[in-house]
Amino acid sequence: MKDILVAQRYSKAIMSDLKENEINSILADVELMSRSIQKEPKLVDFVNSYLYPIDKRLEIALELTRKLENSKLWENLFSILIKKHRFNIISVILKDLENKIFSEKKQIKVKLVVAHELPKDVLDSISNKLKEILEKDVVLNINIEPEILGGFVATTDSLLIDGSIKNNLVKLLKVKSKKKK
Amino acid sequence: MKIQPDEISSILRDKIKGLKFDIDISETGKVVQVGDGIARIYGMDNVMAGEMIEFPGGVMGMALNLEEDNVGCIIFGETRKIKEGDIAKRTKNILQVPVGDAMLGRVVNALGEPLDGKGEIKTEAYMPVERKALGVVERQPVKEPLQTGLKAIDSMIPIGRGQRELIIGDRQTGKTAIAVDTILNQKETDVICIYVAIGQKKSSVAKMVNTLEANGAMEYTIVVVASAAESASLQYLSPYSGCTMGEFFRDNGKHALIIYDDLSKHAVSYRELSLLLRRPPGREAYPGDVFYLHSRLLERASKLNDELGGGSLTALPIIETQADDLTAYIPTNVISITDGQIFLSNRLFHSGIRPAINAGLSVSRVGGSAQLKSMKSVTGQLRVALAQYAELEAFSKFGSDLDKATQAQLTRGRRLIEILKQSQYSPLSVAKQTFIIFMANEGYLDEVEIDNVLKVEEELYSTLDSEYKEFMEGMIKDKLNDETKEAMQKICEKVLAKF
Repeated sequence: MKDILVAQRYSKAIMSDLKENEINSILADVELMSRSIQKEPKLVDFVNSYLYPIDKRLEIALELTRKLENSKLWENLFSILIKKHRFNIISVILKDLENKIFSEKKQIKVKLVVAHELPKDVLDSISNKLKEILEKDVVLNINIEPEILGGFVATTDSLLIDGSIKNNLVKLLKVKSKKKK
Repeated sequence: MKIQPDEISSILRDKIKGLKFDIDISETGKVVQVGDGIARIYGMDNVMAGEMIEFPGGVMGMALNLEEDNVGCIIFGETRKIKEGDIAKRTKNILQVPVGDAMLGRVVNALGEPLDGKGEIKTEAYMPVERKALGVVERQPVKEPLQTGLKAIDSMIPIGRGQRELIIGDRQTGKTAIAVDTILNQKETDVICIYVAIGQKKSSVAKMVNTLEANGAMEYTIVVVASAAESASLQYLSPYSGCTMGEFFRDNGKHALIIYDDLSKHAVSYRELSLLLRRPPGREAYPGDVFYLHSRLLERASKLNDELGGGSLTALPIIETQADDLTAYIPTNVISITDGQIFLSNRLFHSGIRPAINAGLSVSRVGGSAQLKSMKSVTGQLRVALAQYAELEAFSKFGSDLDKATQAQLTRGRRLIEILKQSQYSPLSVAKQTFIIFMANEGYLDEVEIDNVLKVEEELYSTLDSEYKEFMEGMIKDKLNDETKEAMQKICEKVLAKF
C-alpha cells in the first residue's frame, strides 16, 4: 500500500514537468523499461541491494538509461531511487506513470484475453464495444488463453469485463444448482 | 425408452443456439494486504460501506473501512485462499441471509448456511443483514407479555413482546439457563425463537441444541452459531444475521424472540476487527462506535403497530460481567440501551438460590404494562415483602430477641425466597406461578417448615393439574376478584391439610 502511494508521488512529479511533445517518447521509454524489468526481475533486486557498492549500482542504472530517449530524466530518477533505497518500486512507478500518460491522452490500456487468435474485424468490433463501455480510446494488449473457451475478458486497472464462454457456463451452472435447491 | 445420441446432440445444439451470452462488467481492485481475516484493497473507488466483495476462489468479504487510498475489508471465509495482488470484485450488493419458515429447526452459521447436516435450506427469501430499525410511527408500546416460565422473572421483572431485556451476570451464574428456559416455555405459544451463539465453545452449543431437541423446542427455533473457532468477522456478523431472521417473522405479523449469547464476546470480536482495521482505540481499547454497534442491533427489536400486522421481536441480550462489575464499559452501554436488566448474582447462585436473580438490581422498565392482571395483583405485595426481608436479613441472627412483627417479616421473606427458586428446564405456567405466589403472600406457607416448602409446592401443582384445570384457565383471564381469591384460599387449605 505504502509502495503505491510513494510511487504515485514520483509519477505525479514526472508528469507535472512533462511537455506535450515529450509524452509519446516517455511512453515508449516506460514500455521498454517495463519489458526489460519483466524479462530480468533480478535486476531490480540487484540494483536495490545493499550488498553491492552504491557506485556500482548507479553505474548499472546509468547503463540502463543510455538506450532510452529521455535518458537525463531516467538517470535522475534512478539515482534518487537508488540513493533512497527505493528502486524496488520502479515497476509500480512505471505502471502508474503509464496510466497517467494514457489518461492524459484520453486513452486506456486494456488487457484483452481471447481463447484463440481473432480476425481483425472481430477485434475491431470488440475494441469498439470496449470504447463504448469505457468512454475512452482503447489500446489493446492481446493475450491468448484457451481456458476461457471463447468470447473475451477485458481487464483495466479498475474494471473487469467478462464476456467469456467460461464465465457464462459458470453462471449457468450456478442458476441450475440454485433451481435444484 | 431409448434416446439416440443424435437426438441428444440436436437438443444440445438447439439449446446452445438459443443461449444468450452476457457480458459481466464489474469494478475491481487489487489486494495489497491480507491476513488475520482482513484484506486491504487498492482501487474500487465507488464501493459502498457494507458492500459484499468477491475474492478469487469464491471467498466473500464486506467493505467496512472506506479510506482515501484503500478499502478495508473483513473476510468471511478462508483467508489463505487470497493472495497479495489478487483481483477483488465489487458485487454492488449488501450482504443478505436466507429467511423464512424453512430456517426453523436448523442450526446455521452467520451467513445462513446450514451446519447441522440436514441438507440444503429450501428458501427463496433473502433479506439484508444490516437493516435500519423501524421508526416511531411504525411501532406501538409493548402490551403483550412474553412468559419466561420462571417465577422470579414473570412476577417481578415481567418481559413484554417487543421489549429488550438484558440478562447480565458473572460467568456460571445461569444466564444461558434463563435463555434456554424461556425458549422451552414458548412451546405452546406462537413465539418463534432465535438463539445466537457468539464466540461460544462448539460443545456448549451442541449441548444446548440437544436440550432443545430433547424438549421439542427445535421445531420453533433457529440456532445461529459463530463459535470461538470462527473468525472475528463471522462473530461480528452473527447477531445481525439472527436479527434479520427474526425480523422476517415480525414483519409477517408473527412474534419472535431473539437471544444474543453473548454481546460481550460480540464487542470483543468487533474490537479485534477494528484494531486490525487500524481504527483508533478508545476506552478499554474498544473503538468509538462500540455503542452504536449494540444500539443499532437492539433498536431492531420492536412491537409493530396493528396496521403493520402487530408482530413483535423481543430481544434478550446477554452480557458477562467480571466480578459482578456492572460499571464496566460494555455492561453500562447495554444497560442504557435496553428496557431493563435481569441481574444474576454470583453470591446468590452459590448460596443455592437459583435462578440467582438479584431483585434489587433487576428491573423491567416497560414490561409492567404487559404483565397479566392476575399476576399483577399478587406481585405488588411480593416485591415489598422481599425488599423488607432484604433490609431485615442482617438482624435475623438475633433470633428470638426480635419483636413478633419483625420475626413474621423474616419468616415470610424466607418462604418467598424459597418459592422463587426453580430448577432448570422446568418452566411453569402463569396460573401456577400466580397461585404459589398468592399462597405465600397470604401467609399459608408461614407455618410450613422451610425444608417442606418445595414439597407443598409440588403437591399444590399436582392438585391443580388433577382437579382444577378449568379453574386455572379461567383464573388468569382477569384480575383476581374476591370470589376467585376465596376459591384459591380453599385450595390452599386443602393442600396444606395433607401436611
